Amino acid sequence: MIATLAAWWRPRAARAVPAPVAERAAAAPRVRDEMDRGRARVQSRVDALQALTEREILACGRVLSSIVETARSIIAETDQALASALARSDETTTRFIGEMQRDIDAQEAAVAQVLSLADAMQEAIGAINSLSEYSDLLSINARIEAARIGEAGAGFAVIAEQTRQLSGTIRGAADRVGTAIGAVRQGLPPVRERATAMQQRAREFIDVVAIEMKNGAHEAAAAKGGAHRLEAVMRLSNEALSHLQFQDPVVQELDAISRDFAVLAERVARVLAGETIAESAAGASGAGFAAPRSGKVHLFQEE
Amino acid sequence: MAKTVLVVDDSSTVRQQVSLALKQAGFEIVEAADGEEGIAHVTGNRAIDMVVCDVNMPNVNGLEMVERIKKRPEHKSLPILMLTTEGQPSMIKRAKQAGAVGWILKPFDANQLVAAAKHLTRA
Repeated sequence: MIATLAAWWRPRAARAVPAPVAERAAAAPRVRDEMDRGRARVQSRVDALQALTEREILACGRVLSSIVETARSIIAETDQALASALARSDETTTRFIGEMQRDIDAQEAAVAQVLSLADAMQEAIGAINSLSEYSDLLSINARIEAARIGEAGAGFAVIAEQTRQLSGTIRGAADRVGTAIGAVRQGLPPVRERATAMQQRAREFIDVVAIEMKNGAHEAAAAKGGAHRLEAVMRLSNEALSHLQFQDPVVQELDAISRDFAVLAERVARVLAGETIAESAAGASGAGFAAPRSGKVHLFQEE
Repeated sequence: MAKTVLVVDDSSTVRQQVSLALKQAGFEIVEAADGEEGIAHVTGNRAIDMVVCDVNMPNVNGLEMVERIKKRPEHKSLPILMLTTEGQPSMIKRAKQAGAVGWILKPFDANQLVAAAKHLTRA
């Protein structure tokens, strides 16, 4: 901008230089007026530039604000959804697996109990059969004794016959019970096989659920990664915020240009009036772009 | 509960930038365009936990604002951080004597401003 301004006033200054001192002195007020008008035009452009800068920075700030708000809401929603889904999934799966395991255990226990009962009954049948054999033996002995003592043993023979019949009845009952227990025993293995198969399927299901939960954890981790990237967006927006703070040095520089122009107008008028200006005073107003400064926070209490 | 920071600056862009940095860190923001408005907010009904304040402002400037706020016993412990392009040691000394807790030269680093705000408000 300084180069443009220099180009703007240089031809007029160049035209003014060759004129005689008296003429130049006479022209000094006009030159000063001209320079003042030029300064006013520059000031007007400076003001417009400042307004434009401010408007654009505000617009950038609004966009940044929207980005940050969006990022924040995505992070919050992701965290909430993940936590909720994981808690729900974990709770449901754990409850389901627990119930299934309890059912399987109960079925196993029931089958084992039935088999144990069957064993006990088999033992009882064995005892009944022994009793039956003993009754048979008793019946045979009774008939032998009845035959040996002749007619006097006729009543004894009746008892022997009844004992033999009782023994037959006991044996028949024991056989029927034994057959029933055998049927129960034959029926139990398929039940046990089905229980085992069901247990196996349950274990497979548990494995699948465990894998799914693991995948879920991976997905959660991936979503967390997304959240981290969004946090990076927020950090970048902070950096952008720092870069957007160029307005202050720009305004300072524009003020300096305006002040320089005032000094220039004054000095041109003095030169035209024949005054000699020391070289050391010929510099600009001294204001310029501020040297880059750290945005560090200086806390007095920690100094 | 979110801490409230009063941002006092005559530049709307600076107010916006400070607000944006602090809002995304979870702070509530109240804005004022000059020292007089800033004092009105501090002495108003809403509890202010910290002030970020420019130095050069119309009506009441930042240093005068700090001096006037710190004269009130109830605001002795209110942390006030100066945020300005001014780096003159005499001004920094005056701000320190007036009761400001710190000084930030613009352009400011948003992350450092947030860290300072969290430290000063114990957020």
